[in-house]
Amino acid sequence: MKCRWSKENLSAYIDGELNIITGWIIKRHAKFCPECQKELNELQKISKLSKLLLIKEPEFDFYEQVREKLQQVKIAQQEKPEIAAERKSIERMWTFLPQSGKAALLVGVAALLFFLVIYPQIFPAPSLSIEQFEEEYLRSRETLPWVESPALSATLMSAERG
Amino acid sequence: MNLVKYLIALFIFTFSFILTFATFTFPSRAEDSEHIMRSSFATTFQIDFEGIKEVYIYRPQTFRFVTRVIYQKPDFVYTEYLEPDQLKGKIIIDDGKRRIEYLSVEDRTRILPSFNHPQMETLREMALKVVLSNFKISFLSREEMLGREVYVFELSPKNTISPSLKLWIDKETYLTLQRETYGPGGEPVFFFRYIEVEFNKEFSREKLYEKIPQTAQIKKEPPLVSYFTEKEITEKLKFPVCFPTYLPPGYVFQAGELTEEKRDVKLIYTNGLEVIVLFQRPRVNIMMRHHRWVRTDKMRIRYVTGPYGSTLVWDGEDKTFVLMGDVPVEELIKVAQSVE
Repeated sequence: MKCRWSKENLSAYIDGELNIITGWIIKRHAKFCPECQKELNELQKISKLSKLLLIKEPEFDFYEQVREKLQQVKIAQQEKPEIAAERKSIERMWTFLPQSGKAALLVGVAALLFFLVIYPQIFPAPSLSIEQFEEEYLRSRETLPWVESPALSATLMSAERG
Repeated sequence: MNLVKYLIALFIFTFSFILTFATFTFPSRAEDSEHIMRSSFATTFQIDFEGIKEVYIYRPQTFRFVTRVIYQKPDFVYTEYLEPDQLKGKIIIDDGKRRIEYLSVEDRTRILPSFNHPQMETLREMALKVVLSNFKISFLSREEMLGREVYVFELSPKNTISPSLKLWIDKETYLTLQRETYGPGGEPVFFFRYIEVEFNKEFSREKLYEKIPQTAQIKKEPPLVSYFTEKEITEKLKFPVCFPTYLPPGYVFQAGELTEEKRDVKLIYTNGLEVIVLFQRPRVNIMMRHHRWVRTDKMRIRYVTGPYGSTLVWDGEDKTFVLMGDVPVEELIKVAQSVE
């Protein structure tokens, strides 16, 4: 009778929910009853392990967030068939396009690539050197009476360039 | 009584003497100073002269040049570089019709438009007017230099960005024998002086031409240069011309030039001592090395600063602009922003 009562209250004893007297009775009984002592030891081990695992309580809206994410995943999964349908329609268009249409499309893309990428490499845009402008500037400068020594600034520029 | 008469006579004599001396020796009036300035502008075309000239340029490194200069009335100028070694033997002959530049190091000859052709007189006259309006001319002293009497003048700018000058002008011929130029902060910018002079010297032009190899074979005519007003430029060009609405203090429009195809235009602005040149042409890629960028509300400008001033390059809607001038780069950026 006492053993049965003791086993029923072992968990409450480990959690510290019993009063001092009841706790002392269970502790004393377990000391002289090997079966209850064994059960008490196992329950204490489990209690220690469960305390180690419970590091942090989840956020109060944790489950709400999980629910929203799940809904988004569901929506994304619903869109996928639409994209797939578009792709299929393009593939269907390409399949039904006549050979001449396909050729024209490829030529157009090739021409676009040629004029945007290759043509500027072969025929670069007209470019001038700044030195041509500098010579013109110096010619204008040296027409002034007090710019001493004709061509001095041009000479100076050459000297600067090394 | 006689003593009083004697003293009065002595006073009148002394006063007259001082007045006469001052009148004939010092250009005390502003008109006299202007007359000397005006004469010094054109003196190189009114004398027969040979001299050795020493030139220093501080930008900020110091460059030193020594040249032999010959002037012969009315339009002949001969310049031969004696120093530095890398320029030794460089010869420039300008005879009023064409300008021959011989580069001895490269053994190369270039033919350019003359700086002494009659149309230049108009530009010189205009430059003189601009100088007289931009600078306050002060007579400082009378000195002796290379055995000749010289007037020493100072030109102070009426604005904050122009340089100030000090001139030593020969009393007899009005040739400038020495000039010092200082920047707005008082730092030296340019200095030249003659270290040898000989006036009224006769020489043979042919012998000078012979110094340039194969001069006789050079038949090439230089390109023609014509100068236009703002209105003429606008009428002659094939596309609308853009003009700046802002110019640095003291600068005015000098002239415009066109290329033969009338597609490129060159607008020249001057303060009498220096020029700012604005080039504009249909859009083109302009190659620049070692440039920096400056961004404004309206444009992105590439710029570089060299010994001759600063260069700015930017693109408009359908045109490319190049702006060059020997003024602070901030001033050039303001000019660029005002181009309309």
